[in-house]
Amino acid sequence: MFGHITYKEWLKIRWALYGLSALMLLSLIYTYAIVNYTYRFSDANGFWYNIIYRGSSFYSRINYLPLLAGLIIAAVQWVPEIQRKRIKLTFHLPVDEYRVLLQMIAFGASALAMIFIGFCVLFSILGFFYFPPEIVYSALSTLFPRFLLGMAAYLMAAYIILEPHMLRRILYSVLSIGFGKLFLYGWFYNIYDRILLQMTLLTLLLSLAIIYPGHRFKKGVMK
Amino acid sequence: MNQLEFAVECRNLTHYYGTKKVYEDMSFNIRSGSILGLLGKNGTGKTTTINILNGFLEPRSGECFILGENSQYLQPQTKARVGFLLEGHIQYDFMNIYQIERFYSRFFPRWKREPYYDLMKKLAITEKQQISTMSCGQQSQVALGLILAQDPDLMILDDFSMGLDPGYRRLFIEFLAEYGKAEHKTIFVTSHIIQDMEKLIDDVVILGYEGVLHSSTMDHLMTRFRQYDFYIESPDRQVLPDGVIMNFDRVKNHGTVYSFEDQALVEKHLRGQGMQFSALSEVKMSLEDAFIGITGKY
Repeated sequence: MFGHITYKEWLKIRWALYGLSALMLLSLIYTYAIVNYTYRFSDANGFWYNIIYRGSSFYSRINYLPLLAGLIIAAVQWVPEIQRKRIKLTFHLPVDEYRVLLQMIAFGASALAMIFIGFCVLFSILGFFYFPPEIVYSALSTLFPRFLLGMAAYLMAAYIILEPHMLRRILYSVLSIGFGKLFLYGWFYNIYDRILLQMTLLTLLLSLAIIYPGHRFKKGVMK
Repeated sequence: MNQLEFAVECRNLTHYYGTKKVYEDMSFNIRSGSILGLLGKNGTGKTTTINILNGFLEPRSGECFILGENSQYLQPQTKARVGFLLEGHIQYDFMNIYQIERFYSRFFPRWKREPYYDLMKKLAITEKQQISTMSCGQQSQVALGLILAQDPDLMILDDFSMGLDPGYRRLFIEFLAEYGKAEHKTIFVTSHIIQDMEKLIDDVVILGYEGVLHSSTMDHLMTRFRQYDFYIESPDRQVLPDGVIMNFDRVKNHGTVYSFEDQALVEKHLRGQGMQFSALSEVKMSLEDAFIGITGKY
Protein backbone atom coordinates (compact mmCIF):
# COMPACT_ATOMS: atom_id res chain seq x y z
CA MET A 1 0.00 0.00 0.00
CA PHE A 2 2.97 2.34 0.49
CA GLY A 3 3.30 2.76 -3.28
CA HIS A 4 -0.35 3.78 -3.58
CA ILE A 5 -0.06 6.45 -0.91
CA THR A 6 3.23 7.59 -2.42
CA TYR A 7 1.46 8.36 -5.69
CA LYS A 8 -0.96 10.77 -4.00
CA GLU A 9 1.75 12.41 -1.90
CA TRP A 10 3.99 12.81 -4.94
CA LEU A 11 1.23 14.62 -6.86
CA LYS A 12 0.89 17.06 -3.97
CA ILE A 13 4.53 17.94 -3.39
CA ARG A 14 6.24 17.48 -6.76
CA TRP A 15 6.22 21.15 -7.83
CA ALA A 16 7.45 22.29 -4.42
CA LEU A 17 10.15 19.63 -4.60
CA TYR A 18 11.29 20.80 -8.05
CA GLY A 19 11.30 24.43 -6.88
CA LEU A 20 13.23 23.71 -3.70
CA SER A 21 15.78 21.58 -5.55
CA ALA A 22 16.36 24.45 -7.98
CA LEU A 23 16.64 26.95 -5.13
CA MET A 24 19.18 24.84 -3.26
CA LEU A 25 21.18 24.26 -6.43
CA LEU A 26 21.26 27.99 -7.16
CA SER A 27 22.34 28.79 -3.60
CA LEU A 28 25.13 26.19 -3.90
CA ILE A 29 26.32 27.66 -7.19
CA TYR A 30 26.22 31.14 -5.69
CA THR A 31 28.17 30.03 -2.59
CA TYR A 32 30.97 28.52 -4.63
CA ALA A 33 30.93 31.40 -7.10
CA ILE A 34 31.76 33.70 -4.17
CA VAL A 35 34.55 31.30 -3.04
CA ASN A 36 35.91 31.20 -6.59
CA TYR A 37 35.79 34.98 -6.91
CA THR A 38 37.56 35.46 -3.55
CA TYR A 39 40.32 33.01 -4.53
CA ARG A 40 40.90 34.64 -7.88
CA PHE A 41 40.34 38.32 -7.42
CA SER A 42 40.13 39.14 -3.73
CA ASP A 43 41.97 38.46 -0.46
CA ALA A 44 42.55 34.67 -0.58
CA ASN A 45 44.89 34.77 2.42
CA GLY A 46 42.41 36.66 4.57
CA PHE A 47 39.64 34.28 3.46
CA TRP A 48 41.72 31.25 4.58
CA TYR A 49 42.71 32.94 7.83
CA ASN A 50 39.08 33.61 8.70
CA ILE A 51 38.09 30.00 7.99
CA ILE A 52 41.01 28.36 9.86
CA TYR A 53 41.56 30.67 12.84
CA ARG A 54 38.33 32.60 13.30
CA GLY A 55 35.92 29.78 12.42
CA SER A 56 33.96 31.82 9.90
CA SER A 57 31.96 29.81 7.40
CA PHE A 58 31.85 30.19 3.63
CA TYR A 59 28.37 28.64 3.38
CA SER A 60 26.35 30.78 5.79
CA ARG A 61 24.04 31.82 2.90
CA ILE A 62 22.32 28.47 3.15
CA ASN A 63 21.73 28.80 6.88
CA TYR A 64 17.93 28.83 6.74
CA LEU A 65 17.37 26.99 3.47
CA PRO A 66 16.81 23.54 5.01
CA LEU A 67 14.37 25.09 7.50
CA LEU A 68 12.50 26.77 4.64
CA ALA A 69 12.46 23.50 2.68
CA GLY A 70 11.01 21.60 5.66
CA LEU A 71 8.26 24.15 6.21
CA ILE A 72 7.31 24.32 2.52
CA ILE A 73 7.12 20.54 2.09
CA ALA A 74 5.01 20.27 5.26
CA ALA A 75 2.66 22.99 4.03
CA VAL A 76 2.10 21.61 0.52
CA GLN A 77 1.72 18.06 1.77
CA TRP A 78 -0.47 18.54 4.85
CA VAL A 79 -2.50 21.72 4.35
CA PRO A 80 -4.57 20.16 1.49
CA GLU A 81 -5.38 17.28 3.85
CA ILE A 82 -6.93 19.48 6.50
CA GLN A 83 -8.63 21.91 4.10
CA ARG A 84 -12.34 21.04 4.27
CA LYS A 85 -11.24 18.05 6.42
CA ARG A 86 -10.11 16.22 3.29
CA ILE A 87 -8.05 13.81 5.39
CA LYS A 88 -11.32 12.00 6.12
CA LEU A 89 -10.96 10.58 2.60
CA THR A 90 -7.58 9.17 3.55
CA PHE A 91 -8.90 7.78 6.82
CA HIS A 92 -11.72 6.11 4.91
CA LEU A 93 -9.35 4.19 2.65
CA PRO A 94 -9.39 0.46 3.42
CA VAL A 95 -6.09 0.53 5.28
CA ASP A 96 -5.05 1.13 8.88
CA GLU A 97 -5.38 4.90 9.50
CA TYR A 98 -2.25 5.22 11.62
CA ARG A 99 -0.14 3.25 9.19
CA VAL A 100 -1.29 5.61 6.41
CA LEU A 101 -0.24 8.61 8.50
CA LEU A 102 3.19 7.08 9.07
CA GLN A 103 3.52 6.32 5.36
CA MET A 104 2.65 9.90 4.50
CA ILE A 105 5.16 11.32 6.95
CA ALA A 106 7.78 8.82 5.78
CA PHE A 107 7.26 9.95 2.19
CA GLY A 108 7.59 13.66 3.05
CA ALA A 109 10.68 13.04 5.18
CA SER A 110 12.24 10.87 2.46
CA ALA A 111 11.64 13.53 -0.21
CA LEU A 112 13.25 16.12 2.03
CA ALA A 113 16.16 13.80 2.79
CA MET A 114 16.71 13.29 -0.95
CA ILE A 115 17.09 17.03 -1.51
CA PHE A 116 19.42 17.34 1.47
CA ILE A 117 21.56 14.36 0.44
CA GLY A 118 21.77 15.66 -3.13
CA PHE A 119 22.84 19.03 -1.80
CA CYS A 120 25.51 17.49 0.46
CA VAL A 121 26.93 15.40 -2.39
CA LEU A 122 27.24 18.41 -4.69
CA PHE A 123 28.52 20.55 -1.82
CA SER A 124 31.28 17.98 -1.15
CA ILE A 125 32.27 17.55 -4.80
CA LEU A 126 32.63 21.31 -5.27
CA GLY A 127 34.19 21.67 -1.81
CA PHE A 128 37.00 19.19 -2.56
CA PHE A 129 37.82 21.32 -5.58
CA TYR A 130 38.54 24.39 -3.41
CA PHE A 131 39.36 23.10 0.09
CA PRO A 132 41.28 20.29 1.81
CA PRO A 133 39.11 17.32 2.92
CA GLU A 134 39.30 18.36 6.61
CA ILE A 135 37.53 21.64 5.87
CA VAL A 136 34.86 19.94 3.76
CA TYR A 137 34.16 17.24 6.39
CA SER A 138 34.07 19.85 9.09
CA ALA A 139 31.68 22.00 7.03
CA LEU A 140 29.42 19.00 6.47
CA SER A 141 29.29 18.15 10.18
CA THR A 142 28.47 21.78 10.95
CA LEU A 143 25.79 21.84 8.26
CA PHE A 144 24.28 18.58 9.45
CA PRO A 145 22.28 20.17 12.33
CA ARG A 146 20.81 22.65 9.81
CA PHE A 147 19.50 19.73 7.79
CA LEU A 148 18.28 18.09 10.97
CA LEU A 149 16.50 21.34 11.73
CA GLY A 150 14.88 21.21 8.27
CA MET A 151 13.72 17.67 8.99
CA ALA A 152 12.52 18.54 12.51
CA ALA A 153 10.71 21.62 11.13
CA TYR A 154 8.94 19.40 8.59
CA LEU A 155 7.85 16.93 11.26
CA MET A 156 6.77 19.59 13.73
CA ALA A 157 4.93 21.62 11.08
CA ALA A 158 3.06 18.49 9.94
CA TYR A 159 2.13 17.83 13.58
CA ILE A 160 0.89 21.39 14.06
CA ILE A 161 -1.06 21.48 10.78
CA LEU A 162 -2.85 18.22 11.58
CA GLU A 163 -3.72 19.27 15.15
CA PRO A 164 -7.45 20.15 15.09
CA HIS A 165 -7.50 22.64 17.99
CA MET A 166 -6.22 26.19 17.34
CA LEU A 167 -4.96 26.91 20.88
CA ARG A 168 -2.96 23.71 20.88
CA ARG A 169 -1.51 24.68 17.51
CA ILE A 170 -0.28 27.96 18.97
CA LEU A 171 1.20 26.19 22.00
CA TYR A 172 2.97 23.61 19.82
CA SER A 173 4.28 26.39 17.56
CA VAL A 174 5.87 28.18 20.53
CA LEU A 175 7.41 24.93 21.78
CA SER A 176 8.66 24.13 18.28
CA ILE A 177 10.41 27.48 17.95
CA GLY A 178 12.20 26.81 21.26
CA PHE A 179 13.16 23.32 20.12
CA GLY A 180 14.29 24.58 16.73
CA LYS A 181 16.66 27.11 18.31
CA LEU A 182 18.73 24.22 19.64
CA PHE A 183 19.76 23.53 16.05
CA LEU A 184 20.91 27.09 15.40
CA TYR A 185 23.27 27.48 18.33
CA GLY A 186 26.30 28.59 16.31
CA TRP A 187 28.42 28.25 13.21
CA PHE A 188 31.78 27.39 14.74
CA TYR A 189 33.23 24.27 13.11
CA ASN A 190 32.33 20.93 14.73
CA ILE A 191 30.32 22.72 17.42
CA TYR A 192 27.62 19.99 17.44
CA ASP A 193 29.87 16.94 17.21
CA ARG A 194 29.18 15.63 20.72
CA ILE A 195 25.39 15.81 20.50
CA LEU A 196 24.76 14.99 16.85
CA LEU A 197 23.64 11.46 17.64
CA GLN A 198 21.17 12.58 20.30
CA MET A 199 19.78 15.29 18.02
CA THR A 200 19.35 12.77 15.22
CA LEU A 201 17.54 10.32 17.50
CA LEU A 202 15.29 13.07 18.81
CA THR A 203 14.38 14.09 15.25
CA LEU A 204 13.64 10.49 14.30
CA LEU A 205 11.37 10.16 17.33
CA LEU A 206 9.44 13.23 16.17
CA SER A 207 8.39 11.30 13.07
CA LEU A 208 6.18 9.04 15.22
CA ALA A 209 4.46 11.99 16.89
CA ILE A 210 2.11 12.53 13.91
CA ILE A 211 -0.02 9.67 15.25
CA TYR A 212 -1.29 11.82 18.13
CA PRO A 213 -2.87 14.77 16.24
CA GLY A 214 -3.99 12.26 13.59
CA HIS A 215 -5.84 10.29 16.27
CA ARG A 216 -7.37 13.49 17.67
CA PHE A 217 -8.46 14.57 14.19
CA LYS A 218 -9.97 11.18 13.44
CA LYS A 219 -11.93 11.02 16.66
CA GLY A 220 -13.17 14.59 16.26
CA VAL A 221 -11.55 15.73 19.52
CA MET A 222 -11.88 19.52 19.74
CA LYS A 223 -10.30 20.36 23.10
CA MET B 1 -21.85 -13.98 2.96
CA ASN B 2 -25.19 -13.79 4.79
CA GLN B 3 -27.11 -10.60 4.21
CA LEU B 4 -27.65 -8.71 7.47
CA GLU B 5 -31.18 -7.52 8.19
CA PHE B 6 -29.79 -4.07 8.97
CA ALA B 7 -26.76 -2.61 7.22
CA VAL B 8 -26.58 0.08 9.89
CA GLU B 9 -27.73 -0.06 13.50
CA CYS B 10 -27.36 2.91 15.83
CA ARG B 11 -28.28 2.40 19.46
CA ASN B 12 -28.84 5.05 22.10
CA LEU B 13 -26.52 7.64 20.60
CA THR B 14 -25.87 10.63 22.81
CA HIS B 15 -23.55 13.42 21.80
CA TYR B 16 -22.63 16.88 23.05
CA TYR B 17 -20.30 19.55 21.70
CA GLY B 18 -19.01 20.92 24.99
CA THR B 19 -22.18 21.53 26.97
CA LYS B 20 -24.39 21.84 23.88
CA LYS B 21 -26.51 18.77 23.43
CA VAL B 22 -26.83 17.47 19.88
CA TYR B 23 -29.10 14.56 20.74
CA GLU B 24 -29.73 12.04 23.47
CA ASP B 25 -30.57 8.35 23.22
CA MET B 26 -31.05 8.40 19.45
CA SER B 27 -31.59 5.02 17.81
CA PHE B 28 -32.31 4.06 14.22
CA ASN B 29 -31.61 1.22 11.80
CA ILE B 30 -31.15 1.05 8.05
CA ARG B 31 -32.56 -2.03 6.34
CA SER B 32 -30.17 -3.77 3.99
CA GLY B 33 -30.97 -2.87 0.39
CA SER B 34 -33.01 0.20 1.29
CA ILE B 35 -32.44 3.93 0.85
CA LEU B 36 -32.84 5.90 4.06
CA GLY B 37 -32.97 9.68 4.21
CA LEU B 38 -31.91 11.48 7.37
CA LEU B 39 -33.71 14.81 7.41
CA GLY B 40 -33.41 17.65 9.85
CA LYS B 41 -32.94 21.38 10.09
CA ASN B 42 -29.47 22.85 10.33
CA GLY B 43 -27.79 21.97 13.61
CA THR B 44 -29.89 18.91 14.43
CA GLY B 45 -26.94 16.55 14.05
CA LYS B 46 -27.09 15.08 10.55
CA THR B 47 -23.38 15.48 9.83
CA THR B 48 -22.58 14.53 13.43
CA THR B 49 -24.41 11.25 12.85
CA ILE B 50 -22.50 10.61 9.63
CA ASN B 51 -19.21 11.36 11.38
CA ILE B 52 -20.09 8.86 14.11
CA LEU B 53 -21.07 6.28 11.49
CA ASN B 54 -17.71 6.64 9.77
CA GLY B 55 -15.74 6.56 13.00
CA PHE B 56 -14.71 10.23 12.67
CA LEU B 57 -16.36 11.14 15.92
CA GLU B 58 -16.72 9.27 19.17
CA PRO B 59 -20.21 9.70 20.65
CA ARG B 60 -20.46 10.47 24.34
CA SER B 61 -22.41 7.24 24.68
CA GLY B 62 -24.13 4.70 22.48
CA GLU B 63 -22.78 2.86 19.47
CA CYS B 64 -23.30 2.28 15.78
CA PHE B 65 -22.73 -0.90 13.82
CA ILE B 66 -21.87 -0.73 10.13
CA LEU B 67 -22.28 -4.02 8.26
CA GLY B 68 -22.17 -5.72 11.65
CA GLU B 69 -19.01 -4.00 12.89
CA ASN B 70 -18.65 -1.25 15.51
CA SER B 71 -18.19 2.00 13.59
CA GLN B 72 -15.38 3.14 15.88
CA TYR B 73 -13.22 0.16 14.96
CA LEU B 74 -13.93 -0.55 11.30
CA GLN B 75 -11.62 -3.10 9.73
CA PRO B 76 -10.09 -2.16 6.35
CA GLN B 77 -12.12 -4.88 4.58
CA THR B 78 -15.32 -3.37 6.01
CA LYS B 79 -14.29 0.14 4.96
CA ALA B 80 -13.80 -1.21 1.43
CA ARG B 81 -17.53 -2.10 1.44
CA VAL B 82 -18.62 1.43 2.43
CA GLY B 83 -18.71 4.28 -0.10
CA PHE B 84 -18.50 7.68 1.50
CA LEU B 85 -19.40 11.04 -0.03
CA LEU B 86 -18.18 13.98 2.04
CA GLU B 87 -20.39 17.05 2.35
CA GLY B 88 -19.64 19.31 -0.65
CA HIS B 89 -18.37 16.41 -2.81
CA ILE B 90 -14.87 16.91 -1.46
CA GLN B 91 -12.22 14.89 -3.23
CA TYR B 92 -8.48 15.08 -3.84
CA ASP B 93 -8.95 18.09 -6.07
CA PHE B 94 -5.24 18.43 -6.86
CA MET B 95 -5.64 15.37 -9.10
CA ASN B 96 -7.26 15.08 -12.53
CA ILE B 97 -9.91 12.47 -13.35
CA TYR B 98 -7.35 9.88 -14.52
CA GLN B 99 -5.01 10.32 -11.58
CA ILE B 100 -7.80 10.01 -9.03
CA GLU B 101 -9.22 6.86 -10.68
CA ARG B 102 -5.74 5.35 -10.80
CA PHE B 103 -5.19 6.19 -7.13
CA TYR B 104 -8.44 4.74 -5.77
CA SER B 105 -8.49 1.68 -8.02
CA ARG B 106 -5.52 0.20 -6.18
CA PHE B 107 -7.32 0.17 -2.84
CA PHE B 108 -10.63 -1.46 -3.66
CA PRO B 109 -10.78 -5.13 -4.67
CA ARG B 110 -14.15 -4.79 -6.45
CA TRP B 111 -13.14 -1.71 -8.44
CA LYS B 112 -15.06 -1.21 -11.73
CA ARG B 113 -13.71 1.59 -13.84
CA GLU B 114 -16.48 1.51 -16.50
CA PRO B 115 -19.25 3.28 -14.51
CA TYR B 116 -16.75 5.99 -13.56
CA TYR B 117 -15.58 6.66 -17.11
CA ASP B 118 -19.16 6.43 -18.41
CA LEU B 119 -20.04 9.35 -16.15
CA MET B 120 -16.85 11.26 -17.00
CA LYS B 121 -17.63 11.09 -20.71
CA LYS B 122 -20.77 13.13 -20.07
CA LEU B 123 -18.78 16.00 -18.54
CA ALA B 124 -17.42 18.82 -20.65
CA ILE B 125 -13.91 18.67 -19.23
CA THR B 126 -10.44 18.44 -20.72
CA GLU B 127 -8.35 15.32 -20.18
CA LYS B 128 -5.83 16.87 -17.82
CA GLN B 129 -8.14 19.31 -16.06
CA GLN B 130 -7.64 19.35 -12.30
CA ILE B 131 -10.73 18.57 -10.26
CA SER B 132 -10.28 21.85 -8.36
CA THR B 133 -10.99 23.79 -11.58
CA MET B 134 -14.29 21.98 -12.26
CA SER B 135 -17.74 23.30 -11.39
CA CYS B 136 -19.58 22.00 -8.31
CA GLY B 137 -21.80 19.89 -10.54
CA GLN B 138 -18.86 18.32 -12.34
CA GLN B 139 -17.11 17.63 -9.04
CA SER B 140 -20.26 15.92 -7.78
CA GLN B 141 -20.19 13.60 -10.79
CA VAL B 142 -16.53 12.76 -10.16
CA ALA B 143 -17.31 11.94 -6.53
CA LEU B 144 -20.37 9.88 -7.51
CA GLY B 145 -18.44 8.06 -10.25
CA LEU B 146 -15.71 7.08 -7.80
CA ILE B 147 -18.26 5.65 -5.37
CA LEU B 148 -19.95 3.69 -8.14
CA ALA B 149 -16.59 2.31 -9.30
CA GLN B 150 -15.87 1.21 -5.73
CA ASP B 151 -19.01 -0.95 -5.91
CA PRO B 152 -19.75 -0.68 -2.17
CA ASP B 153 -22.52 -2.50 -0.31
CA LEU B 154 -23.36 0.61 1.71
CA MET B 155 -23.20 4.20 0.45
CA ILE B 156 -23.15 7.11 2.92
CA LEU B 157 -23.82 10.43 1.19
CA ASP B 158 -23.61 13.58 3.28
CA ASP B 159 -25.70 16.45 1.88
CA PHE B 160 -25.21 15.32 -1.71
CA SER B 161 -27.27 18.18 -3.13
CA MET B 162 -25.10 20.95 -1.68
CA GLY B 163 -23.99 23.39 -4.38
CA LEU B 164 -25.67 21.54 -7.24
CA ASP B 165 -27.89 23.24 -9.79
CA PRO B 166 -31.30 21.59 -10.49
CA GLY B 167 -30.00 19.67 -13.53
CA TYR B 168 -27.13 18.00 -11.70
CA ARG B 169 -29.35 17.40 -8.66
CA ARG B 170 -31.89 15.60 -10.80
CA LEU B 171 -29.13 13.64 -12.57
CA PHE B 172 -27.61 12.60 -9.25
CA ILE B 173 -30.93 11.46 -7.77
CA GLU B 174 -32.12 9.54 -10.81
CA PHE B 175 -28.82 7.78 -11.21
CA LEU B 176 -28.65 6.92 -7.51
CA ALA B 177 -32.24 5.65 -7.28
CA GLU B 178 -31.85 3.43 -10.33
CA TYR B 179 -28.44 2.14 -9.28
CA GLY B 180 -29.50 1.47 -5.68
CA LYS B 181 -32.50 -0.60 -6.70
CA ALA B 182 -30.80 -2.46 -9.56
CA GLU B 183 -27.73 -3.39 -7.55
CA HIS B 184 -29.54 -3.88 -4.22
CA LYS B 185 -27.34 -1.35 -2.43
CA THR B 186 -28.01 0.19 0.95
CA ILE B 187 -27.88 3.97 0.75
CA PHE B 188 -27.89 6.48 3.58
CA VAL B 189 -28.40 10.08 2.50
CA THR B 190 -28.79 13.48 4.07
CA SER B 191 -29.81 16.57 2.16
CA HIS B 192 -30.99 20.00 3.12
CA ILE B 193 -33.22 20.08 0.03
CA ILE B 194 -36.13 17.96 1.15
CA GLN B 195 -37.92 17.66 -2.19
CA ASP B 196 -34.85 15.84 -3.56
CA MET B 197 -35.56 12.96 -1.25
CA GLU B 198 -39.14 12.32 -2.25
CA LYS B 199 -38.36 10.26 -5.34
CA LEU B 200 -35.32 8.62 -3.82
CA ILE B 201 -35.81 7.25 -0.33
CA ASP B 202 -37.66 4.23 1.05
CA ASP B 203 -37.35 5.10 4.73
CA VAL B 204 -37.12 8.39 6.55
CA VAL B 205 -35.73 9.55 9.88
CA ILE B 206 -36.53 13.14 10.85
CA LEU B 207 -34.30 14.77 13.44
CA GLY B 208 -35.31 17.61 15.72
CA TYR B 209 -33.23 19.51 18.23
CA GLU B 210 -34.00 16.88 20.86
CA GLY B 211 -33.42 13.76 18.79
CA VAL B 212 -35.55 11.64 16.44
CA LEU B 213 -38.98 13.19 15.83
CA HIS B 214 -40.17 10.60 13.37
CA SER B 215 -38.93 7.37 11.86
CA SER B 216 -40.88 5.24 9.39
CA THR B 217 -41.11 4.12 5.80
CA MET B 218 -41.82 6.87 3.27
CA ASP B 219 -45.01 5.08 2.38
CA HIS B 220 -46.22 5.24 5.98
CA LEU B 221 -45.33 8.90 6.34
CA MET B 222 -46.92 10.00 3.07
CA THR B 223 -50.14 8.00 3.49
CA ARG B 224 -50.73 8.38 7.22
CA PHE B 225 -49.47 11.86 8.00
CA ARG B 226 -51.98 14.50 7.02
CA GLN B 227 -52.37 18.22 6.69
CA TYR B 228 -55.73 19.86 7.38
CA ASP B 229 -56.50 23.46 6.49
CA PHE B 230 -59.46 25.33 7.95
CA TYR B 231 -60.95 28.75 8.52
CA ILE B 232 -60.58 29.96 12.11
CA GLU B 233 -63.60 31.68 13.61
CA SER B 234 -62.24 32.12 17.14
CA PRO B 235 -59.78 35.06 17.18
CA ASP B 236 -56.40 34.52 18.88
CA ARG B 237 -57.10 30.89 19.67
CA GLN B 238 -54.02 28.66 19.56
CA VAL B 239 -53.71 24.86 19.53
CA LEU B 240 -50.82 23.22 21.31
CA PRO B 241 -49.20 20.07 19.90
CA ASP B 242 -50.21 16.91 21.73
CA GLY B 243 -50.84 13.25 21.03
CA VAL B 244 -53.23 14.05 18.17
CA ILE B 245 -51.93 17.33 16.76
CA MET B 246 -48.27 17.28 15.69
CA ASN B 247 -48.15 20.94 14.77
CA PHE B 248 -50.40 23.95 14.42
CA ASP B 249 -49.82 26.94 12.20
CA ARG B 250 -51.88 30.07 11.80
CA VAL B 251 -51.73 32.91 9.31
CA LYS B 252 -54.49 35.41 10.16
CA ASN B 253 -57.70 33.32 9.96
CA HIS B 254 -56.16 30.51 7.98
CA GLY B 255 -55.30 27.56 10.23
CA THR B 256 -53.28 24.43 9.48
CA VAL B 257 -52.82 21.36 11.64
CA TYR B 258 -50.72 18.27 10.99
CA SER B 259 -51.70 14.92 12.39
CA PHE B 260 -51.48 11.16 11.92
CA GLU B 261 -55.18 10.91 12.77
CA ASP B 262 -58.17 10.94 10.43
CA GLN B 263 -60.29 14.00 9.74
CA ALA B 264 -63.17 13.13 12.07
CA LEU B 265 -60.90 12.66 15.08
CA VAL B 266 -58.97 15.86 14.35
CA GLU B 267 -62.17 17.88 14.04
CA LYS B 268 -63.45 16.49 17.34
CA HIS B 269 -60.11 17.14 19.01
CA LEU B 270 -59.97 20.75 17.83
CA ARG B 271 -63.50 21.47 19.03
CA GLY B 272 -62.58 19.85 22.34
CA GLN B 273 -59.84 22.44 22.69
CA GLY B 274 -62.30 25.28 22.17
CA MET B 275 -61.29 26.06 18.60
CA GLN B 276 -64.15 27.39 16.49
CA PHE B 277 -63.60 26.76 12.81
CA SER B 278 -65.20 25.89 9.50
CA ALA B 279 -64.31 24.40 6.11
CA LEU B 280 -61.77 21.91 7.46
CA SER B 281 -60.35 19.85 4.62
CA GLU B 282 -57.41 17.55 4.00
CA VAL B 283 -54.65 18.95 1.77
CA LYS B 284 -52.32 16.83 -0.35
CA MET B 285 -48.78 17.06 1.02
CA SER B 286 -45.30 16.85 -0.41
CA LEU B 287 -42.43 15.46 1.68
CA GLU B 288 -41.35 19.02 2.36
CA ASP B 289 -44.82 19.83 3.73
CA ALA B 290 -44.66 16.72 5.90
CA PHE B 291 -41.21 17.72 7.12
CA ILE B 292 -42.48 21.19 8.08
CA GLY B 293 -45.51 19.54 9.68
CA ILE B 294 -43.31 17.47 11.93
CA THR B 295 -40.49 19.90 12.68
CA GLY B 296 -42.38 23.22 12.52
CA LYS B 297 -41.31 26.33 10.66
CA TYR B 298 -39.06 27.69 13.38
